[in-house]
Amino acid sequence: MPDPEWYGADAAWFVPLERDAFRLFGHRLRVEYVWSILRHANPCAVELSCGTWIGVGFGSPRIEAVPRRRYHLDGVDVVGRTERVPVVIEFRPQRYFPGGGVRDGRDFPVVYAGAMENSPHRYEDGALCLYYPDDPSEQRWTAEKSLAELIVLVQDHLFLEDTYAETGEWIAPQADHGFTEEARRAA
Amino acid sequence: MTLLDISIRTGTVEHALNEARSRIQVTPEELDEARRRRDAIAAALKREFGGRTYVNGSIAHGDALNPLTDVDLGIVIPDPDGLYGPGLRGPGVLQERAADAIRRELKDEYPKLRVEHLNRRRSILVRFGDPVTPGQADFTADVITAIDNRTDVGLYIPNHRTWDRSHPERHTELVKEANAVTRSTFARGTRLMKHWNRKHDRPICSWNIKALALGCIIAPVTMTDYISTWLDYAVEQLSIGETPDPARVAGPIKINEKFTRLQVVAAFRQAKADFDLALQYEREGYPILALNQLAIFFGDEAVMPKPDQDEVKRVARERWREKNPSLVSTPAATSSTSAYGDRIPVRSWAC
Repeated sequence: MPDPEWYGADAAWFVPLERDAFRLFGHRLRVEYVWSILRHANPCAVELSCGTWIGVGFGSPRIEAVPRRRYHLDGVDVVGRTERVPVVIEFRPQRYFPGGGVRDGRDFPVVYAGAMENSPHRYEDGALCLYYPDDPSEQRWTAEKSLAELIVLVQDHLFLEDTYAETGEWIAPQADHGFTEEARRAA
Repeated sequence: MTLLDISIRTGTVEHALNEARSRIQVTPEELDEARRRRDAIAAALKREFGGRTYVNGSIAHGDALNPLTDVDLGIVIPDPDGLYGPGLRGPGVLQERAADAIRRELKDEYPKLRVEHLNRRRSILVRFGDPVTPGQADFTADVITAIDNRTDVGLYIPNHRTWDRSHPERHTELVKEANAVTRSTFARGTRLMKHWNRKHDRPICSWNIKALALGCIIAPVTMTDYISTWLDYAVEQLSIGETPDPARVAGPIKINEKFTRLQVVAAFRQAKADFDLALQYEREGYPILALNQLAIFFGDEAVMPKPDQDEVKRVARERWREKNPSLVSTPAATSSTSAYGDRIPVRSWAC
């Protein structure tokens, strides 16, 4: 049963999000609702009489089922490529950014499209780094915008990667890696 | 632009569409041979039944595509005693007589001829065992055994063991009128859309393409305007419901059962976005990007080949730099490579 708190099961949230994309891509776009099973390590420790704690190994892992709302587009055209590139867009309840904390998953879907080993704008798992999380909402994708607008970003991102591969130049605006800008501003 | 006057387009897109049209066009020799076979069947049926024959389908309508694989015709069988029709006798006996007559009269010229009439919904299928277009497996004819509707316009045509109302003769008249009024641009543009349809899982049948065109292509048009106009109209009409029979006799025209109507609308909406981007590239002065986008629209390398992709990338980069000169993000939307809208002015990033 979907968690009633889980936005991905709430039609009031996902219908406006996906409407334009389905109007445009029709049967080429499909959505699946899945649970990811996460196994959390469960370290055990005992307190000695002197008051210090020592680790004695791991107990049974804690198992958690996390919902995902996942869109599959069978392919997008990328200028300069002969084959379409399949796209997967996955919404999770939350998204963790090292150094940037936990963010609302609605505004930070995980997007997979193609592969590029030395891309300057991909995560380690190959997901696309499409926008800087701390930019104002009009300068990043947010859930109030449509899934179709996110797909436009994906197409451009792949074109920009191809350009980077050939010229070594990223020809679109880019933010510093990590959350250094915020840190700098705070300092 | 209005459709009252044909506009003169000499641009990249129009030129490429006309080139594509010539690639899918059937040769006069193939058409002659197809008509000869059709006429031979018609003569056999007339000898068997008397009555009148009619033609429809792509050859009769002037929009046949290469490869040419089939022809359509019908015979309206006299029924002076009123024995056949809804609630009366079904079409089985007439179909069997028609099949026998075709076999009898054509088997000498086509030794591999096979005629199938059992367990079929509407037509008798004639397999010649001898292709018209070299390299094709065969050439076939769909033959309808119809009777006049005694109380209303049109005909009754078979639907398994019973009859449906239809008006195929009026359909052919309407298409011929449209071809005349549009100086054949109706048929030319229809060929292009039929080819697009063929390469995109055939969401609708050829007759549906023409039925929609009858509602929107009413004067001579360029191929560019045919496609733009037709796609807009198809999206609008199919968003409301299935296409009505242009003769107002039969029920609405069914779409491919593999799709929902809204999926078909989506396919046409996406096609329009792809086509519009090609026109936008042309207006902006990037003909190679326009051709590349047109190739994406058609999805068929044989008919609309993609230009050199290295050159496409080079020009796309040039355009990107021109349209998005700043490497500093601004709040306004920026120009995209996508057919599906402007780009949110994001900054690419990595954690």
